[in-house]
Amino acid sequence: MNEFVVFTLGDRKYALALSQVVEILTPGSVYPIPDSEPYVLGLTNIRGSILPVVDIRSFLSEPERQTNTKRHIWVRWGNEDIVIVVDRVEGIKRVSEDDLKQPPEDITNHKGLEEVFMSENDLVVVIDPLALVG
Amino acid sequence: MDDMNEYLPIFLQESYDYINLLNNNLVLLEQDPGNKEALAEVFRAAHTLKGMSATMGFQPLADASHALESALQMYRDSHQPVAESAIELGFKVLDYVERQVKRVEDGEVLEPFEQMPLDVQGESKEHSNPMENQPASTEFNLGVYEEEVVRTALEQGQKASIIRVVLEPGVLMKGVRAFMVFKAIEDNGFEAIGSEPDAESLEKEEFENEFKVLIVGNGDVNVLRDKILRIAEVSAVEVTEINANMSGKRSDSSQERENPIAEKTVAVQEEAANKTAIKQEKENSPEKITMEEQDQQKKATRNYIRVPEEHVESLMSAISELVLEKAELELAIRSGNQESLLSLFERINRSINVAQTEITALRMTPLSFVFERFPRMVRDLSRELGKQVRFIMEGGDTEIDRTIIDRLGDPLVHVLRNAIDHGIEKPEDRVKAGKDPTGTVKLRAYHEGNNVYIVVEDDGEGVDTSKVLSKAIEKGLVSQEQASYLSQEEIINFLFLPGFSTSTEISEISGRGVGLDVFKNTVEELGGSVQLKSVLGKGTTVIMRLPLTMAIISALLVKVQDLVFALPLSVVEEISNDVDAVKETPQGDVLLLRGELLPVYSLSKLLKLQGDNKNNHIIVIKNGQKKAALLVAETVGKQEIVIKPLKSRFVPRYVDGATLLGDGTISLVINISSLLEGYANVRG
Repeated sequence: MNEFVVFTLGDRKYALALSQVVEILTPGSVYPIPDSEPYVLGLTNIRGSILPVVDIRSFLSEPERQTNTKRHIWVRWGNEDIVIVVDRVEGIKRVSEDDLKQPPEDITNHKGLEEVFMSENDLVVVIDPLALVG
Repeated sequence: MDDMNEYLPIFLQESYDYINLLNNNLVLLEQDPGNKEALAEVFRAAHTLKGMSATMGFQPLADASHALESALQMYRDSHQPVAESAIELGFKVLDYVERQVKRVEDGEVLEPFEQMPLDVQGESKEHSNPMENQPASTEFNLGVYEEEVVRTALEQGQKASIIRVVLEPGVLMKGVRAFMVFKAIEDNGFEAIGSEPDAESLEKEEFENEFKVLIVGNGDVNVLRDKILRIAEVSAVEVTEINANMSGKRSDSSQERENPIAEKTVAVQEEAANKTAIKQEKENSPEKITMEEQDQQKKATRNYIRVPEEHVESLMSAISELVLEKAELELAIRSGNQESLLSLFERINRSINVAQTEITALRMTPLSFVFERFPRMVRDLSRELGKQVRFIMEGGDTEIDRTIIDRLGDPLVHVLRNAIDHGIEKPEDRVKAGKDPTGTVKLRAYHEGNNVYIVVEDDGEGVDTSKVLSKAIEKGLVSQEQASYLSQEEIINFLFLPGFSTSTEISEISGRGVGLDVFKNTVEELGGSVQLKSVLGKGTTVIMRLPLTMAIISALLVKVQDLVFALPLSVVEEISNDVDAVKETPQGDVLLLRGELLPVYSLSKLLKLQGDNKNNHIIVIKNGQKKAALLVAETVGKQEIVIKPLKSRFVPRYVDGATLLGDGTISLVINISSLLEGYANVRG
């Protein structure tokens, strides 16, 4: 059984492996880093740990839009810790191996998009955030 | 013993320590073959290594360590200078040991230890038998090793004695008799730790008709004396006890004579041939192991942070103070008494300072940690290159932060290699130049203010700046007319440019500069700087300045467009608000400061910040030897900051880390040199 954290960005649903998620947070202040990549929003302080905040929207061709219910997800992949910004966290979803499918043709070549599964008639795309932006 | 794995990390660490120790003492012995301390040190280390390896079940390693002991044993016993060939063999065995320890570390199977070609021993025989024709005496020359063993034994309440055994004139199997004496010593609760002449000579019957054995143990010397006297063809035994103070050797024992009892057995002779095997067994006896354990305990702490108790105590009391002060603070806040709040703040501040100082001290490690492997490296390299090098190390006890130590090895190896490879000339060339055929490379470390300086100095051929300059012109780095304005120092700095220094031609013509840019970068990443001085024909000096610690630094906080940045105070020369002194020139803005013309950069432009910026302050920064003026909107003040490393691909290179300010704001710590490097053309 695979466990995922399902979240939304715009109108679409995405998921992260639960094992990669350290914490889901209400955003604190983000301090910009001059002369960094445009998708790097800045640095945030989570109880003394200073982490880069990354907007993965542009990699998913999601338009930027204002929502008030943003969340920060602290993601750990190997030694690298980043915080990604999402619109809304839906919750944790258990998916059986059989229900995990290859992504549709149009996104198979996109690195960082691992698999898809169906959840209440919505297609949920499993992402690997670091591969996505790296 | 499957739980041995638990000890593997300690075994590895200690083995490397001992290998370093052995290498360095062998190098010392090579320089001075009569150095008894170095020889004793080699013995001690080889012996401990043997014990450790055997305990861990790495027999080939134990065998090799034993071979190392054997190769040098006779010199220890005879107090003769160690033959060069024996040292050479020592190095070879040690290289084998190092390879095997590496294999242990990598989880590979050990290569069998093959006895090294011991032509060495053949040669060294010439030096042996020093005692052969010496008159009988109760004196026994204690080496450092013996002295130590004797002292330890006496401290543990054991007895130490010198036994002089006289055999009958014309005795046939002297070696067998000697062996039987040794056996009697071991059978009676003693251990033979040295003999005159040495064990090998005794075995080969290379002695007149008497010998002396130094013993320690718990047995009864009188019983032992009787036992020895009972050995066939022993005519006299004299026992001299060694006092605790070691100074006076009491000689109150009697000489006795007893009728020889004929008990010639052929079997004994065979046993004698196996004496080394028995000796080996003996070295695994309980007493020996306790000694090894003691040695190990002495060294084991190296694997961990060695923590002086007073630092912990002091840290503890600072924390207890803080706990009290916190409680008082709560009361003071409720009462709202401004005065007591202020005085409380002062006290808390003091406690934090103490805690900070102590915790920093705990992270300090002596530089000898990295220096230790250099003598051997320098020796090997100079041999390989046919150079004669005198290597001097100073200040290995200088302490620096652990995190810096760990990354210091490679840059230092690099600089030392350069000094030997490109600095020091071949002996014949040095003689031609009127110099001592042996060149000197000096590695020096010292502590000054908040910095540690490491200096590598050679008296080699130095850098030919004219050749460097023509190369720079050829590469288009500088125009012909600009070139004439450059100082020697500025010319030498070309060597630090990437690509420039790695070019093989330059290293041939100037004798310098392989990968100097890489070296410089590493030192700068550690928050330090590099300076290179050279005089053609006289030598080159490389000066590395490193911060004592990377965790906490003094920084100048500056503000640009509402963002606060931290500049390490070590790069800040001075601060001025005379922005009108900045003059525009076609090459960009410059600042004339006490006759010096400095390039001016605007921090907001360097950081590619958009929008209007009114710069009110000038910060003169020193980046290596280069000075520059940095324009900022505002200076916030000087502050001690705790740097949190920010190693992430999402963070630009100019960011050395981040720090949390008092109000929870994140401030970026700027690495000035990498900031200026990438934006050399952005002028303010």
